[in-house]
Amino acid sequence: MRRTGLLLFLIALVGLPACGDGESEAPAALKVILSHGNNSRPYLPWPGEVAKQIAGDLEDIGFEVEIEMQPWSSYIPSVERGDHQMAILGWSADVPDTDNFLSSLLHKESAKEGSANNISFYRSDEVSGLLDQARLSHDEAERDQLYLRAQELIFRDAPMVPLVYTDRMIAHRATHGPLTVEWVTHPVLRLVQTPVDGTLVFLRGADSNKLDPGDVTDGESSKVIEQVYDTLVRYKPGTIEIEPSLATSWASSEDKKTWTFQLREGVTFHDGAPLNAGAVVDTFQRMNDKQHRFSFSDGKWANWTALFGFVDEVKQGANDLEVVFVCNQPAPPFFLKQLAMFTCSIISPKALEKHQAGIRRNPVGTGPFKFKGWRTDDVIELERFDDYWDGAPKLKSLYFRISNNATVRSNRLIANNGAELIDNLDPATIAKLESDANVQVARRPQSSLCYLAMNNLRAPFDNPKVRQAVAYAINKKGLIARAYKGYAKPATVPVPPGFNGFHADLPDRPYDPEKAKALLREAGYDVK
Amino acid sequence: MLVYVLRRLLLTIPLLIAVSLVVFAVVSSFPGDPCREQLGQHPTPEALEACRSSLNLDGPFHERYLRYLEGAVQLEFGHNIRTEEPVGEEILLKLPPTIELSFIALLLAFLVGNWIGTRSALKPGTWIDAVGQVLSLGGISIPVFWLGMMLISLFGVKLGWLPFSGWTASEVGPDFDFKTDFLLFEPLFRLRFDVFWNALGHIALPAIALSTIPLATITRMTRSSVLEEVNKDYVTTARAKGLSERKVITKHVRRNALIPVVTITGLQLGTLLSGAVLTETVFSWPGLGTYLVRGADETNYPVVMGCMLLFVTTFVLVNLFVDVLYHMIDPRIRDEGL
Repeated sequence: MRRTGLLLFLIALVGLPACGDGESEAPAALKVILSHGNNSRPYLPWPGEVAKQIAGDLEDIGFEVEIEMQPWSSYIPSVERGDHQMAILGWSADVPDTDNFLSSLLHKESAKEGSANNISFYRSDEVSGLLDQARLSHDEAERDQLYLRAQELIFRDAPMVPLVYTDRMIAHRATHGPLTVEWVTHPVLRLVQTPVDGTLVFLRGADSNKLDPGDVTDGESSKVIEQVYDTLVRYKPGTIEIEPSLATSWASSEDKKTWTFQLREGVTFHDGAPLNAGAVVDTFQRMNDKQHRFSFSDGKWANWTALFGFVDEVKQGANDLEVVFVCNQPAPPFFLKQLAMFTCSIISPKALEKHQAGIRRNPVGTGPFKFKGWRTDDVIELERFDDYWDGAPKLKSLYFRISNNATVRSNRLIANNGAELIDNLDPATIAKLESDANVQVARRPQSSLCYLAMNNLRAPFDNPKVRQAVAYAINKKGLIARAYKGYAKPATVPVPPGFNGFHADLPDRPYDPEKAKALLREAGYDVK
Repeated sequence: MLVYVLRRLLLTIPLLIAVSLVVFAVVSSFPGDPCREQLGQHPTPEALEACRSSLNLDGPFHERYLRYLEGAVQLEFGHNIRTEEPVGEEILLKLPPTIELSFIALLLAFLVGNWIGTRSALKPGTWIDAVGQVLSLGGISIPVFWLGMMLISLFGVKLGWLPFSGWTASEVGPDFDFKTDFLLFEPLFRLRFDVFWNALGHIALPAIALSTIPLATITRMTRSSVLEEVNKDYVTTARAKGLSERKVITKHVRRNALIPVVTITGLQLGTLLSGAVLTETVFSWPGLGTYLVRGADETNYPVVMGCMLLFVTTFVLVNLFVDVLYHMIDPRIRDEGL
């Protein structure tokens, strides 16, 4: 996007260092490349539109912006390497804790070229130190203070521009409910009260990959896994508070290195096997130990190290209903939240024995619905588990069907034509869904973040003044109106509100092109 | 005759090779690295190398192309990067929905186009002629995806007359035990008319959308062909013999006029397969078109290559078949050689 005619052409001043590595060329005009991926994401429904708005705002203060769109498959590796100058990306929490946002996006350990999540390549020792301290503290108030301080420093340095917080949304027939959007999990279908003994069709964009909780990361798989399986602990519906599930109570040693869980008595798997410490140990050890008899992962994705690198061993405790996690360092304060992830679903050892690797197409858990059948690219069918420990669900059966076109999904819901619940709504269809009396749209406001990364290692963004100028130049309200159809809120810090330690009192930099130009002038660029 | 067919078949081979080279070059120039996508964020160099070699991504262009060609002549088209299944087998699975959709669309276009074309030729200047003109102009110029969306929102959503998606065994016949993926033909042959009727309802809207372009062509062809025939001497003779007008038309004019129409209908088959890409996307129809689009989205090289080769081969073979048919029917071109 070169609007040369409109451009206020920039001439660099002599003597300003161009690059962080000490090259002392005079900076050229403020020419930058803004990269983005081609796929839509929950935080980025129309990536091209967001890029266009940002480029327009930057050109207004004197940048010359070229937009570069890349396929997702090359975009991610390229920003991980740090090839970009500016890039648009976002983050949705998989573990609902501020650490999940700040450490992933801004810790110096995440800023290694080639594998960076911190694609701003912000390497502040001070901020990283605060995040490390918060990772070790089990005192909520103390952690909050550390995160507040970190957010203030991040705000000052402006390594990136938090753009917007987006909503997670679902839509469902009014006859089927209540249905709410959770913070990190998919809708909890055991809570649906009507129709009693009825069926519910969940129409989604693609088929599940595998139904082996230890071996998948994709949402279409976890959507089904969460209905079939239980975890040791779970989120209280609608919150990110932990409540007992298969474990009724737990305790940790003083040094937080040993965690003991008491299992619920009398719980059985769908195949009749009893829940006991052996089942839990097998579930975790098969992810931990490649030699385990139930380790069927093809080795392409190891959940274990990413999540539980600090756990040495999971073993049976004093009796058949006690499980002990032995760690090699204090477990982080969000350990229990990690255990609530679908990855940690407890699998029937009897079924693992029977199906071996085939467990990925024959899931057997203790959850509210049991697996009935799967026709690839057609339907996954679940039915009520009458002996569910937490009370059998009201719905009798669940069908997970597929339509890869978001408009078709929303039309089928409106026409009541084989769809009772849809997710991943296209912003263009939301108004129509909301205006239909027979359809309800549910949302969890502001749970994902979309941000503009500036590569702090490369000119001109190695200069904090230029980064601050960019932060003043972006009209977030305009961006939300045009690129999100109004379904987003302006972001001030790289953590959405509602998470622990969210800094609510930082006033955002207002949209102020004049101030932005002044900062660029201070940085040594000649802007009209 | 046999020599002619053989020569034409042999000539097809260099044509297919040339086309495959072009397609391979285009697909190879896709940006992105499927191995990086598949192996996640931190692959080891060995894993990366193993993946590259298993996906035929290592070595210079000509080597990769020759390896692909070697596999292709043995009907090995590589593995889908996402599902890791052989692409050839996956294409076979995706074919039935596309074949059924194309068949119904073509049948619809042929029947309707023929009827309207004949009527408008016999009564030029009447309302039916006007309808024919509008259909043939509109059919060519209305974009298929737009028409598809209009059909969905009118007949599917507003009026709720017809389903507009959900071409899967479990939705078409929940209690019917499908042995094949032909969700329309199978119930017909097994005489389960309730399931067949249900399937027909599901296929109606996409088939109408897909049929518009061939419908336009067939209507025009029929009209001009019938117009040409009715003015010929043998028709006057037939009338002079005292045959009823009805018999003149059905027994004589229509039969003779049909020859070019049948040819043009055959030629539509190739375009239909590729036209299905748009229609299938709009109706999220689980056939080859959707498969190809998804493959392109994922930079899934083997999938895109396999589908493109299939489309091209079908196109070439259909054209060859029509040429040979012509050759057999019309003695005048038989001796003209190649």
